[in-house]
Amino acid sequence: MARKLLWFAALWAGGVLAVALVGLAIELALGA
Amino acid sequence: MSLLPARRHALRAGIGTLAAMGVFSLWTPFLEPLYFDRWFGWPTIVFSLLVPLLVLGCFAMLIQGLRTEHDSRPFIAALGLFVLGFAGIGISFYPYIVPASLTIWEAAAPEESLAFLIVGAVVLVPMILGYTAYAYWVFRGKVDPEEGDH
Repeated sequence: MARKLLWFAALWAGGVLAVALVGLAIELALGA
Repeated sequence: MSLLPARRHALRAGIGTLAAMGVFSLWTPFLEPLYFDRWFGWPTIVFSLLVPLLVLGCFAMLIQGLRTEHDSRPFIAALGLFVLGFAGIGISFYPYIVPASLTIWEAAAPEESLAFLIVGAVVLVPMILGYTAYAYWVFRGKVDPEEGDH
């Protein structure tokens, strides 16, 4: 169960980070 | 290939989603020269080409997950498809929030209001992410069809 919780937390944090990075990538690649 | 009803629905909905994404992706670049340049112009094409490639990757992962009954894969792949869909909108629209008339900075509130708001956002956004994660954790796992209340 602890292992599953760890996976879940990592996936959640990774998802939030991924969305933030997608935004940053668009800003950096197309930045005015 | 015989699939359980939910997997069959997922497959159909997945194909529909991909088809709709394809139609809109082929449509939007022709609406504005700026969009066309973003998607097909050099050097932005190097960056924007990643989006359709990752969409196909997610779709392959979705199908593969459904076929092998690896249930978390289609879920993650579907999340990926929507993140990429929004990234696609971002690539076309950036830096506009109302295309061709209002940029993000023009639409934003004055600095002072934003500075005031960030204090609240720094506390509230992690709380929202936290309780949403908690709700997902509480409702994890499969529904037992034998059990009455879901």
